[in-house]
Amino acid sequence: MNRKKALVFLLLIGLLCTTFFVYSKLRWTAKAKSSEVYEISVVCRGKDMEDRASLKAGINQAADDLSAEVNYITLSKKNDAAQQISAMKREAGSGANAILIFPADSESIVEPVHQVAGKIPVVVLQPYVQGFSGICTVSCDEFKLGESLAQKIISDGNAGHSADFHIIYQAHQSNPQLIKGLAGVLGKPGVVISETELPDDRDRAYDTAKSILMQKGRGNVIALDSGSLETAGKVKSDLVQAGVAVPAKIYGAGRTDSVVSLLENNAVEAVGAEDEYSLGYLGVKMAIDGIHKKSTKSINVNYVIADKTNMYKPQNEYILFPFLNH
Amino acid sequence: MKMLKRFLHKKSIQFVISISFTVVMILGLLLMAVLLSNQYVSSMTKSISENNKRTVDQIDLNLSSYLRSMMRTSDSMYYHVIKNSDLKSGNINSQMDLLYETNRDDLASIAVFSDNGNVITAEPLSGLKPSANVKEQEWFKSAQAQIENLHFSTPHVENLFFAPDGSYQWVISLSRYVELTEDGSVHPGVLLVDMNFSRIEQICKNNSLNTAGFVYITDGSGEIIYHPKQSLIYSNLFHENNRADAKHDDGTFLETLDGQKRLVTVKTVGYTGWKIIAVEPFQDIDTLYSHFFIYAAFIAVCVMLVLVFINLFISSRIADPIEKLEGYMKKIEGGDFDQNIEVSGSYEIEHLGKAINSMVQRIRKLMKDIIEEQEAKRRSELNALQAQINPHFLYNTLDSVVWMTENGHYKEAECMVTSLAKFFRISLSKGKNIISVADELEHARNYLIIQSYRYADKVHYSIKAEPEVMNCATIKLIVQPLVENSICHGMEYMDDGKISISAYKKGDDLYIDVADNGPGMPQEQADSLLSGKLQDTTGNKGGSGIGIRNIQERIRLYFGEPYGLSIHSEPDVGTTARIHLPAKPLDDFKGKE
Repeated sequence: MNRKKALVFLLLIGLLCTTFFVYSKLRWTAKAKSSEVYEISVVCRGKDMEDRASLKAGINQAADDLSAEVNYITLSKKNDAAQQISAMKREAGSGANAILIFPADSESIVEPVHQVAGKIPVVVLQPYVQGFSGICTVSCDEFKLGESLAQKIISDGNAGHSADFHIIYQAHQSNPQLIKGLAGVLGKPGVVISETELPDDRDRAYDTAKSILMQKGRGNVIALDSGSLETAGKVKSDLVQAGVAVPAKIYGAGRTDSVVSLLENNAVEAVGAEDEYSLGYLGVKMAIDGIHKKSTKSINVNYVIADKTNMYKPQNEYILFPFLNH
Repeated sequence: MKMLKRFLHKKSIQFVISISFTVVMILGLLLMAVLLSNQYVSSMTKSISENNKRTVDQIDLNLSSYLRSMMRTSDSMYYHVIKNSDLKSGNINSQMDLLYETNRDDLASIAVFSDNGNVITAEPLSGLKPSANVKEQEWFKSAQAQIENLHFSTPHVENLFFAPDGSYQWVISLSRYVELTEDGSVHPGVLLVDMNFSRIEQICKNNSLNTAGFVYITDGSGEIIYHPKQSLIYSNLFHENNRADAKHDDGTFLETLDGQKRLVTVKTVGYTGWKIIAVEPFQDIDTLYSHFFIYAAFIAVCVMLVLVFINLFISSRIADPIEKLEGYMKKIEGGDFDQNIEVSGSYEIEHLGKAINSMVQRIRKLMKDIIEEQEAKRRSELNALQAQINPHFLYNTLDSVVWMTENGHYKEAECMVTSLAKFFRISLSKGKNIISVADELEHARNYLIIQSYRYADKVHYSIKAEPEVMNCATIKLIVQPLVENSICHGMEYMDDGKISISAYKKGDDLYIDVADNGPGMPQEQADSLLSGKLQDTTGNKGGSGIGIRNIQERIRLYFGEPYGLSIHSEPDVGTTARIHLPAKPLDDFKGKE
């Protein structure tokens, strides 16, 4: 065994140890990466997410499953596009790995979303405006929901020849696609479809809804969101309890426990409810896929049209009564 | 095998040792690695299975405890309240309320229904929803269908009673057939205990597997009771193999779902027939295994390299000294005996080196001795050769012949010339060094004849030899110089000098004695003559020129150490020179010169 051979061996062992060290380091880095926690900011549309418990549950479940930390950004003023833009840019600059946004009902939100999406992944949830092509969106097919709800109204026999429809919605929460879907089915010649934006103030919204329902000869009311649906349903329920006849039928889109209760008590005829849990879950999943540079495409989540007779059926139960931590 | 033998035959020791040890080592390491890996994999799988089983057992324990507690509540309600009460006269509300309050964390409600679906009583107190159709509820129908058993429903939303806060709760309905006593008569009814679903959720979440694994519960038919991703399953965002898993008996098995391997542990909950199913994705285990195998492979390769290194080191420690020794042997083989073999290494190699060194030195010495011996022999032979024709003796003898011829002593002259001829003929002996004892004695006789003429009968001699020694071999010119000595150192100045030559055999030895009655000398002097301390001047006095020492050397050169010449002398008595030779026939030496 001469010195040369000994050197060769030592070199080989050294090379092996170096390779082993590099492999261990890479593995440790990969492991660190896989156990990395992603910072995701959720820019809401309103002042809180209290009425979106199911959606929040979906977001939180996905965060647990996919190692993400979620930060909810609420607005001081509902549906304020300027606040949302400012919040988005701030979060993007503060190190958020991705942003989920429920965009305000304003065209002005579109361009800033595209700008921020150029830096970090942005997922748009339940957009009311168009223009988010190239951006991953997760929502229910509002147009089809509108069509399905309209079909339900017709099948209930509440879309007669001269029936009018009064569409109501909360401030700044008009849903053009939903309206299009409804109008596409219900909008027959001679049928009047009018729209009313309820005031922000709860009492004023109640009074507005009441005035609509009290008007004689008015057709049926279609609420585009859970807030206006709750308001309308509560008005009808109160009036019926007070012995006032309210011929108008109330239909709507949206789901809260109160809405379900109103549905059960005949104050609301039928609701179209989105699978908000899946909406929230998929939103976070798409955001993390975006962080990993995987290709993402827009997704439509499921919805159901439930009435009193089928609300407890298993296929409707999980959407109307989501599993939430008690 | 033959090919292997042929292949290894011509290779060096180091190569053979290295290759043999390396192959054995690699095979051993591989075998060990495979065995250990298999052992590790099976141990890991077993450990994970056992861990899962422990988790499932714990959940079973907790779940069974919860279910038993609910069943006890139902039993208490029925056996201690309903059966002991007449609904007409007694009020069971307070006892029911007590039971409810005691278990309110676990219960959503307790209610008693009549056979036709009317509410008898319920806790918490609340009105029945107008839309509630009790008789169409699955739990109601099950209780009526099998009156002996308690029935557990799948999770559903409680939809019978108005909740005080308007909320909706997911419950699991525990229903049973009961006999209601009213006004003395017994009517069938149904007792409903709605269990809080969140309690089951809590039990499963409190005893979860590691990060990737999870536990879920199904009823006997595979319908999901609880699953951590229940909402996703209902939304078709997650797929579970609940129906197939529920069909398995209790135990652990591997399955593949959506291309992913999973370790599934199943345990049946007593009485309800529910299945607790623990799922461990194998990708984590596979990742663990692959990392282990890679680490093991790295370590194995490192160990192999180190062992090969050590192997080569040790084999070179063994083989290098042998190769060095071989190098020395090649030089020695080439005739270079001046090597000083210095080999270090193992004890055996060092000892071998020293032994070879010693052998080489001995060979060197022996060769030197042989050369010296040959040189001495040649010198002796040269001396003897020179002495074969001694000019002084010849001149003197020829002078004597001339004198005799001038004085008319022709017969004496003829005799002298004849003896001289014989003398020289035997001296030459055709160049041979070994002649018969008969010839050597004849040679001495002829010398004595010549000397007796010269010394005018001053010298008397006798030559006696046993017949058996006549044909023995002897070196020529060993007796005559002794006779010459006797004449020169004693007889010359005596009138009645006598020289007796006798040749006889004793055992295997031949002795030739040349004895005279000369003045003799001290024995020490005689010994000194042989040792060379005292110079023998015989050769200088006109004799044959062969000294005593020459005779001794030649005898020893030819016949070896024990043989030779000895001189015994006594002053005023005489001297006997004894030649000691081996009694070997002359025929033994024919052809060797």
